[in-house]
Amino acid sequence: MTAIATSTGVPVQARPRRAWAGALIGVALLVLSVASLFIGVSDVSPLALVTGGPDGRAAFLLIVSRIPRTLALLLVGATLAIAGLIMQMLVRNRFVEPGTTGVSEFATLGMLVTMVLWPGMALLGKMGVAAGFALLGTWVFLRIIRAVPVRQLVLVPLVGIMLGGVVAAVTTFFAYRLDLLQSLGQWAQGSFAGVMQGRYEFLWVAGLMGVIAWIAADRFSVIGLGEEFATNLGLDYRRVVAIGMVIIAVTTAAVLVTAGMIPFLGLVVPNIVSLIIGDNVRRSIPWVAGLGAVFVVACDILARVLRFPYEIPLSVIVGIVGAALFLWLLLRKGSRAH
Amino acid sequence: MLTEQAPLAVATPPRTLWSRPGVRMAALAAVVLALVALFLFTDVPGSLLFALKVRGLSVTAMLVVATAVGVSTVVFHTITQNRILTPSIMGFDAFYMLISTIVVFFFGATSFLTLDPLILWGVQVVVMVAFSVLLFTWLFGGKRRSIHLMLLVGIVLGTFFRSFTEWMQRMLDPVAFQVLSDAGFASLTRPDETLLLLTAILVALGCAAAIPLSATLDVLTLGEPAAVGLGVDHRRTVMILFGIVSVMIAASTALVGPVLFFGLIVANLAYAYAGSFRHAWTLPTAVLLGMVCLVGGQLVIERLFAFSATLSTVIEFAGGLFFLYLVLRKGAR
Amino acid sequence: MSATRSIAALGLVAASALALSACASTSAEGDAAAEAPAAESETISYTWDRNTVTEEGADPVYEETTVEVPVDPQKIVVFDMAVLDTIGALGGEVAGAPLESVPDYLEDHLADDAFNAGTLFEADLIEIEAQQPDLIVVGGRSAALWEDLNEIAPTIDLSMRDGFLATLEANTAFLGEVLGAEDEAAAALEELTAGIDEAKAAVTEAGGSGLGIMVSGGELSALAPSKGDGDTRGARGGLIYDVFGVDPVVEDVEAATHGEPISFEFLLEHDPEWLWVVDRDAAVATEGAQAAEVVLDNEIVNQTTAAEEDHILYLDPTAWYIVFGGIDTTQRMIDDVLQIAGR
Repeated sequence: MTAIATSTGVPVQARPRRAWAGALIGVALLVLSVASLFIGVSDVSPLALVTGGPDGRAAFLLIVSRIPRTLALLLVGATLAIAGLIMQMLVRNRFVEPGTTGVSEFATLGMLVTMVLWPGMALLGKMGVAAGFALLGTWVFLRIIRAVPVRQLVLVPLVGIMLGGVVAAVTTFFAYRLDLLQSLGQWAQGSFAGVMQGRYEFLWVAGLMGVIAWIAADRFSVIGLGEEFATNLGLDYRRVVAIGMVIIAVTTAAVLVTAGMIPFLGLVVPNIVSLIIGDNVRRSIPWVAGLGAVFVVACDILARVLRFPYEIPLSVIVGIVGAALFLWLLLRKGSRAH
Repeated sequence: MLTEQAPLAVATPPRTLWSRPGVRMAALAAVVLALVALFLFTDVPGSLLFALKVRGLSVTAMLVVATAVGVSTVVFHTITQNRILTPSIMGFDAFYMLISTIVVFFFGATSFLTLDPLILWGVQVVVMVAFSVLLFTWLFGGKRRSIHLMLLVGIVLGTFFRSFTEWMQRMLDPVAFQVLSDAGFASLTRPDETLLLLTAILVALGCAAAIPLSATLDVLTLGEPAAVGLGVDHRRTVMILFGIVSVMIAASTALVGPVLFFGLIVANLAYAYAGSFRHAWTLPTAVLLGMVCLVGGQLVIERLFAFSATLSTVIEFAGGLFFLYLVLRKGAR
Repeated sequence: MSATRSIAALGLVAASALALSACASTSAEGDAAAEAPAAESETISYTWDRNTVTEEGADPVYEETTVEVPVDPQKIVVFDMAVLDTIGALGGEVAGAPLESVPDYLEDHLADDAFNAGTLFEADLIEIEAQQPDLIVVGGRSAALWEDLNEIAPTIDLSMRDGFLATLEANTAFLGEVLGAEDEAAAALEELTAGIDEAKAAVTEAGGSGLGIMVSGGELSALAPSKGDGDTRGARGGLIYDVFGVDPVVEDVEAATHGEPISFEFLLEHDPEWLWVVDRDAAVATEGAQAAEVVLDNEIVNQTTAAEEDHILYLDPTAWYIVFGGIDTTQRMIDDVLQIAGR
């Protein structure tokens, strides 16, 4: 039995609830995005925008810093959540995402390689190398996971986390020998403090990946039913899997390079969406993207506000909230993990 | 599958000399002695006495840690009826760091605690043991869940604790928030002497409590219904054992910091090597194997490669691979 | 996850073990080190308030400690790079040090057969004991090693005390006395004082406020004035304000910002006239390829006065962040600050 895409039993009375949830996500997205625009060190209140602010800089900051940061947050939230969803389809397991499959750790290893070999490299190059490593990581994980029977639901993320641990140990070892641990640690720690115009644009590449995922959504749905089933339906299984792998790798690398690692997001969001509307990929992609964006923007606002004017790394906040949600998903009654 | 324990292997009488657990353990003990001797006496450029003094401390720390990790992991395996969970993988040392942070920040400010680090340490251990017994009873006390699920829960709990610790440290004292992270780095080569003594006492107490329970542990291997049928007060015994495990891990984490996979390697090698599933054999074998890993590993890394402070990274790497192997081999079956 | 943690933990350890490729080494002043060997028994007393609490961040507890230091020691083991620098510049030679932490430009100061004494955090006690040194010097982060090392040989702690300049003067004079190179020490001090005055004058002449920032992992943190303490790592960058008279653009860039990333907005908001950049990522960079330049080349920073007027000055990360004192290093810092005169 596949864990995914089999759920046909969306309760009939779920419809109004769904509409409610959808409206809620939409409103939250709007409110939080606007809030995100106006929270920061400088005075960029609506009033300052009208009057030009103390230095007449409010509008400039809005365009150069606040809008990019908010866009980056929206993009990261949406695309990471989608990448998680695609990963779950490829592996046919609810509990995977780039962070629980070693993909992020491979991308970090890629970062280390660029830091050692080409320290002055532009961000695009760094992202490319990281994406290459992430792709390799996805491939390695998919190879290893073939040995695991599908019904061992929680074994798959376990193996992924351990694989990540092993790769991370290699990275740590070399970074330690090369005295790059601190720098690498700062890269890997998810934070949007440095995001601004000119430093987030690669996330549009991730955004593009999200769009591709949306277009190919039905194929991923079919992939989720298994190789045999997909091939019988006349689908080029390998090609779809390859597309999925590229989507995951590029998204992971783009997010890692611009913001750092953001744990559990790609895992928690699709699961919650599935609780609300069921498992149809085409239907759930906008939901997943929307909820992912809401989640990240909300967490980042917390990260900015809790110790104003200094920032707490976003990954710390997401780590707490995401881990708590993940635990709830695992342990709640009726979870298939039992 | 993973939950299933091999039947007690004492039924068949040993045929060859090597299949006797006693012989195997003696051989292992000889290896440990040889390694310790190598560690202590070779490569001494200067005064032997001085080298012995420095390295003796290091070997003692290794012995204490090996004992704490070996005993606690094997006991933990028996109580939880599996061989892949270890206290560390269940997020235990992350939990320790969290408790330490909370204790330091909420009690550390009061003068009587800052005056005496011993009291602070004592409070830390007591709070830790109390909470971890509660945590484990919650996780394992109710209905049986799949081992893989528990593992995942443990790992996620670990992340949760770590994030929470970092958050607290940043919120409460941004300047000193690195101090506690510093403590999270394992160092076997230069342990604090007072701390070593305290830890040794705690671990010895834990052993003293665990050894008389060795036969009970054998019974627990049969599972809860059988154990209850044989007259074991299951709930009470398990609580006591959790307490022992907590004390030992708290003590060793306080001494050298978290070592994630060490217990897993040691305990599983011990089951394969001991030639018996009786705890009277597996417990000491695990301890001895722990010594082999630590002393041998330190020897290789320090003398052969002249690398410093990388043993924990190597254990993490090797342990991770070993874990993958265990999980995949057993999971695929 | 567990990986991130171990990276973070190890990062702290690796922090000061940074070996940077720096520019060619400047030659030492005093090479007339061939003094007559002093009598073995002759010693100088060195007394200081030793911090007996070794944990970083904890409140210090001081205890007056006196150590008899042999004059003209033959074998010196050094755990503080600034001391290594000064000893070398005064014509001395160091028999052992944590070799991995020695920056390129100080390697000349090591004896040819110098042995590895461990790391700044963990001394290789057995090796040091075997070498039977006459004098061991610790300082800063390695001060915690004092107790262990003093059992082997007379060990003194030349950590920062009473501010950078006072420490530089006291340590240089003391080491000059120990090495029998009082004149060289006095000459070097005179030159450095003059250099610092010149740099200060240049800073005053250039005018305007300044801000020291550190770039690491693509993120910025602000350097805070050291308040004369200098013991904590956060204070290291503070020399730019304390010693060279740069007027900090924000007074409350206290230690509170240490380790906390600041946003580019922070730069624009406070808009310092001069931006002093310590580039931690330049660790293995080839010369001239500043990783920080890539980070700082963006729309917001380009709007700041510092960027518009080409007032972004890069500081040698080894000198400002790792070595922290010492004769050659201070000269490098002076040279770094004097960049301001050309802008």
